[in-house]
Amino acid sequence: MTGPTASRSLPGWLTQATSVVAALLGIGLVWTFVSLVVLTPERRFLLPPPTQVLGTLGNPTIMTPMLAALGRTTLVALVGLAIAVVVGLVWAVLMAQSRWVERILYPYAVILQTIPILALTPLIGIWFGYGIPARVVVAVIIAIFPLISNTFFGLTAAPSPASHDLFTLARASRWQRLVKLQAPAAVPSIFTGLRTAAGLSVIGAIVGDFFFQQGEVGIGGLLRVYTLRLNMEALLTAVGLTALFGVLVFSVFAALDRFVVGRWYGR
Amino acid sequence: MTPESPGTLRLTGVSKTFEDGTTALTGIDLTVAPGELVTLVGPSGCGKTTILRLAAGLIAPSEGELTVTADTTSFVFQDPTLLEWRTALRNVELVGELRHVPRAERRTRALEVLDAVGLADAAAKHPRQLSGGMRMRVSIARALVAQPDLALFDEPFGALDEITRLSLQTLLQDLFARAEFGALFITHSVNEAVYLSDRVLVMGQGRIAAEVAVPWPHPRPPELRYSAEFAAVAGRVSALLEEAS
Ligand SMILES: Nc1ncnc2c1ncn2[C@@H]1O[C@H](COP(=O)(O)OP(=O)(O)O)[C@@H](O)[C@H]1O
Ligand SMILES: [Mg+2]
Repeated sequence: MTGPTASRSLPGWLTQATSVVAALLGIGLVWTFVSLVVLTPERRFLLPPPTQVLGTLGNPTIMTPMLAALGRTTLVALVGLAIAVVVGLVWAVLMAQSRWVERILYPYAVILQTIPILALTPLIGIWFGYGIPARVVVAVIIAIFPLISNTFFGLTAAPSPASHDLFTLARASRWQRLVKLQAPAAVPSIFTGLRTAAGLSVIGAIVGDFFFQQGEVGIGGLLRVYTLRLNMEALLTAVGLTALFGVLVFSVFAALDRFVVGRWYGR
Repeated sequence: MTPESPGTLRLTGVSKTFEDGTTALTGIDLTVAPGELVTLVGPSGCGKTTILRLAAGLIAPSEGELTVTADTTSFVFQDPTLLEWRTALRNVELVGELRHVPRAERRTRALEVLDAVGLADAAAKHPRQLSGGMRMRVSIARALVAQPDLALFDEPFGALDEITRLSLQTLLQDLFARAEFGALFITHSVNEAVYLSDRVLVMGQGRIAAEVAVPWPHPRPPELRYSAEFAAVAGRVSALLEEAS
């Protein structure tokens, strides 16, 4: 066990915030330089200067639909993540029951993980339609693997052999072993998986938006529309918002991880 | 004391060969009578843990006969093996919980035993907040709360510093004098073996090479460890240990 963690200098979140601001400033500088110095005026539409792009933030005709679309994508990501969590945990718990089940179920997880989503989209479209349900399916497929693998790893590798002996000697049932030993021991790795899956569910939802455009448009659908219209200001704003959103989701789940696992394990 | 009274452990001609062909034990004869404390000393790899795992029923002998007449057998592992997400109290309660002992009853008993190992104030702490010695005390409490008639100890103090080790020996010795259980205790410290037990079994590679009876009744004062008679017995065990390995 480690002693008290370093709290000599700035609190962790402040250090992190500082580095994020520094990174944003760096991007802004390079961006301005490329836009105003590297590009000739007639090619400047390829990368309008930051001021012009930030200007769209005050333009309700662009921002209202963009935020609504981002909201829809968020919903798709969250629903996808929730389904991935439930299915992924059940999957991992089943796999942890015996070598035999593991050998049957693990290959499917690997296939889901390795098959390019592009190859699956025609099937998803045929089975789930071309609207929001299909987008959710894409989010689930992209997000589920880290949940399965981290949970499975936690359930099987986290409890020490001696603690298994302890449960064996107490004649614990399989259920007691799962609930009182394996599951709590797996919590840190489940949260690691959740953090990764949360980020991936956002990517999945955007990819889903991109391919399945029926029904109300998501941010991925807007990205496509802006691209077709060569609306660079809106496109860059949407990309920036999406990136911010991804960072936000990841940070929320990282904080949740620290909070829960920290309370239980003091890590 | 008939061989059938609870708390008897008896191994007759026991051998153990693992699936990979390693022969860990050959022809082991060993008895722990009810209420008797027997220690096993021997170099690492000589088969001590294997004997304990056989006694606990975690593995089966390849040959020979093994009889355990204990109603309850407890095991204290080399590592405290506490569940880090549970407080000291809830760790001690674990076995009762697994056996569906009513909550109020198991809590009362757990608190009593925590008190007996000197951890009344640490009941609400998590393992990470406890020192190595305190964690081992919790582990001992968890073994004793089940009120075993046979307790098996696998080098429980091996990883502790000398001072903590001595105080835990004193504690165990006290508990042992008060409670009624037989025990098989593994150690590679000759002094620990002599101080704690009624009989010391000296092991060589896969077999029991010699036996030394320790005369003093329990409870034994801590100063006993610095007496000349103690040194004489310890010296004999050490000599036998050298011969055996
Ligand atoms: N599960 C096992 N499979 C194969 N060999 C084992 C197993 N457990 C122990 N052994 C071997 O048996 C011998 C005795 O081991 P052990 O009883 O752990 O010794 P000790 O506790 O005295 O250090 C060692 O050679 C060890 O490698
Ligand atoms: Mg050992």
